[in-house]
Amino acid sequence: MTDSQPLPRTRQAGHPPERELELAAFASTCAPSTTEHLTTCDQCRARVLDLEADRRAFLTVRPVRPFVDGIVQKFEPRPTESLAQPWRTWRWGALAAALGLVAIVAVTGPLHPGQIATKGAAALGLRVLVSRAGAPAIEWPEPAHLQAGDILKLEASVPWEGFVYVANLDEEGRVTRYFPERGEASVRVAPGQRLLPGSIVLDAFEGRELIVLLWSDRPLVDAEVREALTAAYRAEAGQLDRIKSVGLPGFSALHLHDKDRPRPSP
Amino acid sequence: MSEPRATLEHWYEALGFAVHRRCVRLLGTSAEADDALHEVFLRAHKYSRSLKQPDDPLPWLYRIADHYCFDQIAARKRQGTDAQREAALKDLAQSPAPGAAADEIRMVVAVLASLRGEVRDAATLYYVDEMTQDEVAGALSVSRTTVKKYLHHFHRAAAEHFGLRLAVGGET
Repeated sequence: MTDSQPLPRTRQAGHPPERELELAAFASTCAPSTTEHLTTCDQCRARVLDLEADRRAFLTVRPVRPFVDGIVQKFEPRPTESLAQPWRTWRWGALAAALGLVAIVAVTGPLHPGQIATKGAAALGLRVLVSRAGAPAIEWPEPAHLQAGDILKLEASVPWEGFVYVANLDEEGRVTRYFPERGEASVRVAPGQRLLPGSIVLDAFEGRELIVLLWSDRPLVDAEVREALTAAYRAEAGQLDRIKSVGLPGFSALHLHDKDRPRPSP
Repeated sequence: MSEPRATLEHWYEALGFAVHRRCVRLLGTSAEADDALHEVFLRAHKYSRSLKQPDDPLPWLYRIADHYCFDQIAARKRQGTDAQREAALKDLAQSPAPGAAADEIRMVVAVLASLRGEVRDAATLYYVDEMTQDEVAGALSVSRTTVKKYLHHFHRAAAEHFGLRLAVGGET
């Protein structure tokens, strides 16, 4: 864009703007001039039909019912909401302070694939939603394994405003950051339940992986998270199901899953 | 099925794609648009009683989407998480690549995110929706002179933001 030069426009002279064609395709409430134009313009009629086809394709990937379930559920009372009350927040905050903000092990025994282990804060939560081959993202039925190419969306439940970081630790000890997408440290997140921005396309690694959500009252930087996860990995001799604490300030939620090679279609 | 849920299903089925499309245009990625789509319908569900024309919810949903997306962009800037993108846009403004329409819309959106009210509404309809000044005037129920004034304010903001001056053009 140069000085004094108008923006290049995709709208062609003599045709309605895309917004009007969207209204014609989806809402049937476009301007009378657009309706009239559509009776004589093959190009715009074709565009409206294309938009309608795109809408149907969109709904096959993001179907109505799961989407609306997700919206409606947000307005239903949740048993964990009481933790957001000020006195409870204070109590948990005081507990965290008394423990020097070191994660507490709240579960015993090995972690099983698909199991979510929450450490230290009952209201901290991690849901892993999986989309395979363009299907809508769902909570994956265990013990079915994940595969390369599966797309993960992460839903975090955060009890208090603080900093969130999500990383993946694989069976060979490699650490990959999942959230935040950019920057070098965890980012501030308001309390509540939400899908974290972005999605993760699983690579070709085969074996067990541990997704770790970390909440802290100060930003955690990449280097300290990698160091802590690597130390935890070594301390348990690479047995991811035995990792219960990563020795970082704050609280954590862990999700263990197995990943294998995609099976060829029959 | 409850009435609010049925309404929500109808809106999403008919208009979810249009809202998602708009969010992709404003935010730049499908992943961010997925989050925005969710948030837009949460707000629509919560504030559905404020909808003045229930038979024509798309412009209302677009407005919710615009508010959410511009707020997200402004928040990224405040938090400094968008510094790289912002710097890249400023570089681009100094030495534009030919035909980089996607980058140009990013620049316009970055400026829009710093504005509020009628100026932002008018500039959004003009630059994002590619409406003519007369069409913008009709959509906002104001005169064309007022639209020109709003766009003038927008150009001043663009000059402050990226050090460049946009011309009013592209009438169809």
